[in-house]
Amino acid sequence: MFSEKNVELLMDILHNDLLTAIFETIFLLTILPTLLAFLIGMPLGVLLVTGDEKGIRPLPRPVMQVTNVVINLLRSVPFLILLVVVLPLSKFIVGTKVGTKAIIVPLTIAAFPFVARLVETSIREVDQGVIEAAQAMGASPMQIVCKVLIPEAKPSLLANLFVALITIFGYGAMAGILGGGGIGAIAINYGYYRSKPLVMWVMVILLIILVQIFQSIGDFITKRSDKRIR
Amino acid sequence: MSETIIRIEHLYKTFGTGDGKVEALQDINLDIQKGEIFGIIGLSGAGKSTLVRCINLLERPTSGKVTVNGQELTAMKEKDLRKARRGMSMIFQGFNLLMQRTALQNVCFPLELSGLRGEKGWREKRARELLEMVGLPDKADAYPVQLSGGQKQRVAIARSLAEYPQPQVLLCDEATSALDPTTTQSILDLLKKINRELGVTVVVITHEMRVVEQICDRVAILDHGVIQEQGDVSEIFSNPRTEAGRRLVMPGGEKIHVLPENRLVRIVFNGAVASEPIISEVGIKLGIRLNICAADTRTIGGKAFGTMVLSLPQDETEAARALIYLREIPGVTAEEVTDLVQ
Repeated sequence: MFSEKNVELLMDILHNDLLTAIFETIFLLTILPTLLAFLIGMPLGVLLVTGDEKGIRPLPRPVMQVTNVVINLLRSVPFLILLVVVLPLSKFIVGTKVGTKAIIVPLTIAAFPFVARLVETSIREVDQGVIEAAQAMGASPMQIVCKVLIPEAKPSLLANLFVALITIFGYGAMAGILGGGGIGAIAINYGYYRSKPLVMWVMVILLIILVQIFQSIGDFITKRSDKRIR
Repeated sequence: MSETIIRIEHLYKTFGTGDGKVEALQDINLDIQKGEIFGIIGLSGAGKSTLVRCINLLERPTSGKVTVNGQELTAMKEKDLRKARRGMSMIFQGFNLLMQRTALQNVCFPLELSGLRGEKGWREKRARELLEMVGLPDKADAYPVQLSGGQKQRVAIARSLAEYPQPQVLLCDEATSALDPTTTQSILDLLKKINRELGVTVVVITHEMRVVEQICDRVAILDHGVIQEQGDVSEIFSNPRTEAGRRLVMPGGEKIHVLPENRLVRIVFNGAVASEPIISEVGIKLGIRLNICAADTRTIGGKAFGTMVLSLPQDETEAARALIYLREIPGVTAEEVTDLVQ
C-alpha cells in the first residue's frame, strides 16, 4: 500500500487535483444543493405546519395528504436509484447529464423532502402559546410565519441546516460513482476502480475532517443564535 | 359610568361532534362595563379559558353574539377581526413572550404587526416608557430567559399596552396562577394601577378567590360551562346563592361531620362591622357558650363577609335565645342547618 509508486501517485493527485476537488465538494456538491434544497424545502416545511388541521391557516385535507405522500415517496427512493432516474432531467435543467454540474439536480431533488421534514420539526417546536399571543394581537398568518415561527425556530433551523448540509455532503461524495466530481469521486475512482487504497483512505480522512469542520461551525453558530441559553 | 364595553349574548361553544361532543359553554350572557375590573372565576375545566378566548374570538363560538366596543365581532370576517383584536389585548399564565427577542423588542412587537414599520425610534421610545411604567426600566435589553416569572409577566403587560392607540380591554387568562403569592400581589397591584390610571377595562380569569377579592369590582361564577351567578364581589362573597358559589367562596368547607345531639346554625356575615366581637357578646350578654365548627370569613373594607357554622347548646331554651339574638344583629343572617353542612 505504501510502495513508492503509490505514494508518488498520491502526491501527484494531491498536487494536481486536490484544490479543484475540495472546491467541488464544498461548493458545488454541498453548499449549493443545500441552499437549493432549502429554497424548496423551507416553504414546504412551513406549509406542513401552518396548513395542518390545527395550524394557523388550515389547507384542505387532500392537499396536505398529497404533499405528505409526495415527500414520503421521494424520501423512500434510495439516493443512487434517484440519481440514475433523475440524471436525464439534468440535461433540461443544467444542459448536461454528466459531470459535477449535472449531479446538483438529483442532489437537490433528493434533499428537499428531507429538508422539508427537518423544517417541519423545527417549526412545530415553537410554543403554541406564543402563536396564540400573536393571534390575539391581530397578527395575520403571514406575519406569524415571518415574525414568530421562523425567528423563534431560528436556532433549531440553523442546527437542522447543518444536519442537512452534512447529509448532502455524504450524498455528494456518493455521486462520484456516476461521474460527479470532488473528493468522493477521487476516492471511488482510485480506491475502487483502480485498486489504490492509499489514495482512497487519504480522501476518506479528508472527508472526515471536512464533516468535523462543518459540524463545529454549525454548533458554534447555533449556540450563538439561541437566546434561550444564558 | 355604566357603559357596556363587552356584551356576550346567548353564547354557546361546543367541541367535537357526535358522541365525543363537549358542551364547553352554555348560554353565557355577560355585560362588562367600561372601566371596571371584571372577574370570571371557576375551577379548572369550568370553561373559563374557552370563555375568555371567545371574547377576542381566538375561539369561534358555536352560536351567540359577542360585541366589543359596539362592534359585533361574531359577525366579522377574519380580516376585520384581526383589526378589531388590536383594540383589546391579552396576557397569559405562561407569559408567552418571544424567547428570541429582548424585553424591548417584545414590547415593540404589536407595533411592528400593525405596520408602524418605518418609525423604529418612535416604537422604541414608546416601549421604553411602557417598561418604565411596569417597573422594569433597566431590563430593556434582557432576554426572557434572564427574567423571573413576575418580570416576564410585567413585560407581557407592557406588551399588551403597546398597541397604538392603546387597547381598551385587557384580558387576563390566569395571569397570576404561575406566580408566588408576593409576586401575584405585585402583579395585581399593577393591573389595578393600569385600570385606574389608563382606564383600561380588565377581565380577569382565575381560579383563585384571592385574586377576585383583591381587584375585581364584579364577578361571575362559571361552573361546568354555565354562569351560576354574577354580581358585585362583596355581594357574591357574603352570600353565595349557588352550590358552585359556595364551593368557591368557602373552599375546604366541604362536609363537616357533626355530633348529632347538637343543633347547628349557619351565620352569614353580610357586611357586619368587623371589629365587633359578635360571638363573645353572645357569651357575655346571654351567658351562652357557642362552639365554632367551621368558619370562613374575610374583611373587605372594614366589613366582615363570609360564613360561620356554630353549634348551639343542647339546652332548647338557650339555643332558641341564642338564635334570636344572632338574628337581630345587623348585617348578619342566621339560619339553622339540619343536615351535614354543605
